[in-house]
Amino acid sequence: MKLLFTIIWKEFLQLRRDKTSLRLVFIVPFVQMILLGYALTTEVKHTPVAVLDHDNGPRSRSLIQAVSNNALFRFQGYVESETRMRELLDRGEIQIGLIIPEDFDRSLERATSLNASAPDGAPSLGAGPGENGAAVQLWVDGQDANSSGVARGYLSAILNQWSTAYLSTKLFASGIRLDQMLPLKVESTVLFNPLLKSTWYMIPGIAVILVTMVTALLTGFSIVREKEAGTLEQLMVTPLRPVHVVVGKAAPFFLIGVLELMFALIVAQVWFKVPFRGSYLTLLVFSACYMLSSLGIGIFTSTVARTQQQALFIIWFFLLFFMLLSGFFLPVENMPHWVQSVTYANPVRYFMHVLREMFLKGSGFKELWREGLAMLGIGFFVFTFSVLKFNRKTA
Amino acid sequence: MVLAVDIRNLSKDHAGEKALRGLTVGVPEPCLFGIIGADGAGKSTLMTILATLWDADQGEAKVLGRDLRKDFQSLRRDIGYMPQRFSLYQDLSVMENLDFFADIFGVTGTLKAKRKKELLDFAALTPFTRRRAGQLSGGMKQKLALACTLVHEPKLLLLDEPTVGVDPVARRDFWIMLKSLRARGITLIVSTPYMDEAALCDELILLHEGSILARGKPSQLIAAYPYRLYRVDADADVPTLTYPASKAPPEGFTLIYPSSGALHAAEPKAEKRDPFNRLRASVPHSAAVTLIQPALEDCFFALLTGAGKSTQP
Repeated sequence: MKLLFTIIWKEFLQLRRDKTSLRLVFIVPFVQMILLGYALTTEVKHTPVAVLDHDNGPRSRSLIQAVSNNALFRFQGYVESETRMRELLDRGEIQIGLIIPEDFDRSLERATSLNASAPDGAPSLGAGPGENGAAVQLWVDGQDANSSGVARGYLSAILNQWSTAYLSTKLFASGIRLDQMLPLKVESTVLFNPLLKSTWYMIPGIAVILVTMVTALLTGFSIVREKEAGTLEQLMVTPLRPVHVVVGKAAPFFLIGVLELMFALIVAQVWFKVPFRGSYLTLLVFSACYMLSSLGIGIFTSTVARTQQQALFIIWFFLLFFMLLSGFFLPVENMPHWVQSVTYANPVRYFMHVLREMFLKGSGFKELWREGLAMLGIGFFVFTFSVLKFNRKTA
Repeated sequence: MVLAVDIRNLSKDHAGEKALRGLTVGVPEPCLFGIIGADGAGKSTLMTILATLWDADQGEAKVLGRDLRKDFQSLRRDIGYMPQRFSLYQDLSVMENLDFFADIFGVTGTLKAKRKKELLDFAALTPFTRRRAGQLSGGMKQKLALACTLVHEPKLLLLDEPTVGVDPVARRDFWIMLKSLRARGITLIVSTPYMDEAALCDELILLHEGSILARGKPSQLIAAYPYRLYRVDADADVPTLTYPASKAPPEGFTLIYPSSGALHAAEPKAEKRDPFNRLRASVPHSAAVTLIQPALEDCFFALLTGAGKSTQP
């Protein structure tokens, strides 16, 4: 125990001297968090739209206004031809092109006119056979399947809304209240994130990524650095045992990881106003479980790698997988089943879930104990493996 | 006689080459024992094995009466090892380095304070306790490294080329320290490529391509020199004499080679002819020929050329 304390103390002394690393540990994450907090949003906003209006009547202009007034879209103006529309799509200046046909007004009129010639004299609705409403076309740039899908959905919703409103006004003149006749009425209550702000979901995720990077990278270098400096050889001819070196090297970074997380928590709450509804003590326990595994991965890399360059490469390889398969950007549930089963070995996945649940839902041990155990298990496994793998001879 | 190190038939391959070929040697206790040899002779390999860091491929080794392979953990408490490369924490101060190694070896309390003071005095580092190890001069670094390996009072000290890259004055100081440790009864095994340092050892082995070429006290090695040795000095108008290594030695001589600005020429003791005339024939600028006592360097040169010849077909 005393040996452990000695090596931890030495690490702290060295860390204190290493001003560059300290700056990296605290300033860089702050900048990253603020920058990424704004940048990483899954919301689809300001989609550029252009309109080709062949009809150019008051009704078509009203429809266009409904689109251009909506903040979800950025109205890029009118175009004069379909060739021009295609050109804008090609150049990526617009994502969606809206084309209103020549007979827009006429079709609209015909589709919604009350047919008074029915035999029983009762007003019947709609155009005759073979006639539909006005056909409005959307040209969508589908490269980014996700965001263009979402944008198309929004636009269709706006157009449908306009369509319903039009019909409803029309019928109102004949004394029919369409709004009372709609068969479905949707009332939704959004829990945990009522305004559906994507930052509320992303910020805790960014915090996880930052903590992971800092802890795994710093520990990843710790032992290799001594290998390169030749000091490990000197350590090995002392009575120190592998467990002392492995645990002693990781311990200071545990503290740094906790500080880092606290720091991220403050930025999230003060700057981004994301509510933290869980208990801080619970979070500390979960963080400890998680860091056991993130530090363990770093330490393991450090015991296997021969140079810092190798360590960096190995850690990046792991981190990239861990981050992409953590549900940070893409929900794990969307992944194929066999990939999902791979993610069970990914500690980042668990902590990502834990932190998000704790932030917005205020979940505790009752809901999250499985994740806690999984992280603890992975951490314990990696640490044990590192200690066993740590060679007590140099060759 | 008690042996601090007892090696039998030790072999080790390193980097695809035979670094040690069946070494057998005993080091008495106490002793200042030198391992001499050119780069690649196997000095560091032997040191690393003795320091418990590598396992030999073959052979047996007992260190301080214990089996090197089985008891390496307990041996680490009684051995001090100073690797060839400076291997202390450059970003820690002199005092912090000493503290660290004292704590690791469980040297605590008043004993620690006392020993640190002694070692700092011994290494003449007392005025520099707050200086970072990385900012010390080469000689001071080596003294600090020595102090750190002494903090747990090892019975056996292994020093791998401790004075390479250190200035001559610091080298002399360092050897004075080694001598005083020897006087206290510690066994030291020191490898060095310098012949002047070899002369300061109690006993030596000369390693060549992983084998022991010669072993003995410096005086014994010199006494066993098989030739008569002359120093050949140059004319006043010629700064240094040279003799091409590829050319055969002058008539009747076995060896001729440059040494500290002059040429050394060795002939069999049975040779009766006048050396000067024969030398003048091959070395026209030679002005004077003096009969001299061989130094260790001459002994090793003779041994190594002998070894070179014997390995040739």
